[in-house]
Amino acid sequence: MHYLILLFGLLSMPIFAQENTAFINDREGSSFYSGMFYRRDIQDVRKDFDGEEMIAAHRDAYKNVPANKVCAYDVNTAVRTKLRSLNKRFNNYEGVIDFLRDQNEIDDVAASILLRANKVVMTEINVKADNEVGGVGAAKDLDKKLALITDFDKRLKETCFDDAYQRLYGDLIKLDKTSSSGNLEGLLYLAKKKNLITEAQFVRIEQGRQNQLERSGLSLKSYAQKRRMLRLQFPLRDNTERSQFIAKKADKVNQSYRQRLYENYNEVQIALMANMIKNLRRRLDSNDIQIVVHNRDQSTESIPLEPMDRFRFAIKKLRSEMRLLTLNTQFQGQQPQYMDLIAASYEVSFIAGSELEQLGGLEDIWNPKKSFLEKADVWLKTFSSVAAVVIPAPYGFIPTLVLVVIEATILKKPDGTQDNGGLF
Amino acid sequence: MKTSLILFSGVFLSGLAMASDFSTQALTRNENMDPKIETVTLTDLVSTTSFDGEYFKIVKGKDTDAVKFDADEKLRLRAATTYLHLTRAREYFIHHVKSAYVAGLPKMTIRIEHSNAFSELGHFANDALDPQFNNALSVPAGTGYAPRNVKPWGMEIWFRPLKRVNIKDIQVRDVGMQEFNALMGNFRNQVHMQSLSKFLTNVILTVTDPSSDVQPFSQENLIRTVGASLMLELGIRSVEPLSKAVARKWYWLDTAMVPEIIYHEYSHIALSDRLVLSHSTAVIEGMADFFAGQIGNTPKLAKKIKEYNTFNGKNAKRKQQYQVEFETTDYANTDFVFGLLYQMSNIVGEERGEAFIYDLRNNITTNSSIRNELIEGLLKSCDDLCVTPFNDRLSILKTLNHKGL
Repeated sequence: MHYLILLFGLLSMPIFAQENTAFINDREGSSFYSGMFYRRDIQDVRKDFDGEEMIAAHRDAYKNVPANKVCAYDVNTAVRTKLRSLNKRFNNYEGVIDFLRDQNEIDDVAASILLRANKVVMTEINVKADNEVGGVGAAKDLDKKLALITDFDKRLKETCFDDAYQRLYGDLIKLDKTSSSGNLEGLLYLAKKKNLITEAQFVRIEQGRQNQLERSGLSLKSYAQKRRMLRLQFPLRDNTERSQFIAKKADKVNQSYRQRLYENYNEVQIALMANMIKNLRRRLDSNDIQIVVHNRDQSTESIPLEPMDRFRFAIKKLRSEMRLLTLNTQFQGQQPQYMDLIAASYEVSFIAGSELEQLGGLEDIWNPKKSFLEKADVWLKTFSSVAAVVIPAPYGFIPTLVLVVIEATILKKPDGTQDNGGLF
Repeated sequence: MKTSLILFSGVFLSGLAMASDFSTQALTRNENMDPKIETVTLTDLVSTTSFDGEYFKIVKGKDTDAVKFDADEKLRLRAATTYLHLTRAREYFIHHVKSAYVAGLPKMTIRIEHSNAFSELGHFANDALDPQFNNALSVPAGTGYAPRNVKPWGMEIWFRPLKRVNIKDIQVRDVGMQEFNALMGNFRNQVHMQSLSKFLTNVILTVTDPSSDVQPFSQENLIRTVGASLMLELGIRSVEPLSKAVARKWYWLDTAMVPEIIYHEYSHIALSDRLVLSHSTAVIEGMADFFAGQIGNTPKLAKKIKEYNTFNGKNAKRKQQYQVEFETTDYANTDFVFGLLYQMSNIVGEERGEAFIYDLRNNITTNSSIRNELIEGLLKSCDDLCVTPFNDRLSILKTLNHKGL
């Protein structure tokens, strides 16, 4: 029911709200891209341009562009063209994006989209020999598939390159569910061979294909839309608040927590996830949680939880809610990670930036980080068991002794055999 | 002239009543926490002949008069050491913790070499009743009992005489030994299972493959297999007698000569505005330990002082998991709560940690349990004093969870 109200709230917002095409950083601390190259690139472009020139070129790129037309490729082209008119030797566009990020003109999410767009158009395409090219896939509907490619420029007139490419790929899958990136390559080469597309058209689509744009769902337009919706529904309580934690690298992906959030979830999902952390925070902060038993004889029994039971109850309840979230139709089987919830909650100002680290650290309770020895534990036990059998008596006890000592000292953990009397 | 005489007499008399200093030998600790006997200056004395000060009077046993400066060396050293460290502890609570309660405390009688048990009615139990050694205690004030000529008394600290006790007469509740026994039990089970499984493997091999060279029932194999288990069993069973054979035989504790014990007892007095001196519990002992550590500027109590203490002492940094038994009086003097409070003060921060634990006494009682009221008290104090209460509360809860609470 709460989800429905939330959803209704989001959908009932004015669709033609004041468009805000700015991607000013209002949430992140230092950039996810901060590093040696980042600093060097900024220093390079600062030699070519005044900071104000770069900022002005970037801001001008959005002028007179409606929010539903904003396109990373167009922005890059406009900024690059403007800066080239000021300095013809200019060639370090990544440095400009880094500079803009450093000045908080854009955040890491927008920076990643602009950087990716820049990378796509900078990708050099070497034409392959016929025997190196992937197949076209099933012969059925070959003409329709080729038509998708030849009509690509029509799509480009209506939308941004990344959207156009993703629609092309989506339509290809609709025609043939087994289609792959390799099949698209085959079709591209075939279209080129049949002179259905120009060299420039071939290069453009191949650049998108080689950069696997079909895998990335986030365009500048969709990011702007998600962000705008969230800011309208959940205004930031502090515009100056920045979090270093949210710009840290997320597990197993080359993205920050915040980048992953916008890449993987829509605004409704983000709001639902944030709400869970809001509940968790409220429970963790509570000084009184009780279990109430309504007996059949109309009497009630209230059982106040001990402080540590309250703490563990809050965590177990969150774990339970996380599991149920995957069943929510809004998520369609997606399994949000705990850090996604934390990032979502910060994004909508439900929790303060200063609380992120502590709340994030809660994950260690149900998913503790393993040391090298703990990871090697399974091998250690395997080899010791074999050694214990292979080594003849009476020396067979030695590997067992070693193993027991290691387990009891280095790998020592509460084994759960000591009942501390807690409920949870 | 008359006026001058009165004025002179006034100055002379007030001079007599003024506190004076006295230099004597006492036990102190150096920067490495090693004990040393050195000459110190005792302050705030109101007597020029005895350990009678403005705030403390050191007496021997049931005496009412203070120990004289010319008492025998052993007694003088104990009187001087207790006086010195009690003065330091008092100054810590007044100047560092800003305790108005301590500043307003009346002069206290401190009894050293005192073996009588405490009686709430009679002050001192009969001499013949269960004399006490090797410990110290803080006793609450009493109203006395006029029919038996027992006069009212204020709060006192009693330091018992040292007595050498044989290990056989000590009931040891050594948590470390329990862990070791559990470890050896685990090892024993694994080795016995390993011997059995190897034997069964050989039997199955022989049954399924008659041409196999393996002879599980051969005398040699049986001796080897059973022998390994027997050797192990023998080893495990001899651990305890062996450890007793090589361990220290005699134990003693001279409480008046261990600075941290003196600080601990005074901390009980200083905290008694909230934590009444009625009985010993893990929580109030832990609170007193914490402040003893703060006064002594050390996380270790009663360590490195073998001449006067052969027991283990306490260590706030010792890693220990919570056990329900810690709530019982028998375990009141383990260092679990001490370590826990030490960790909690570190979470709140060096600057506020001490004030945080001091404030904690407002939110607990002498009867508080570790798992319930102590934790509630910590959370409440954090609400009042932490700079970032939500974060610090969370950090406290995570730490406690990690400690098995």
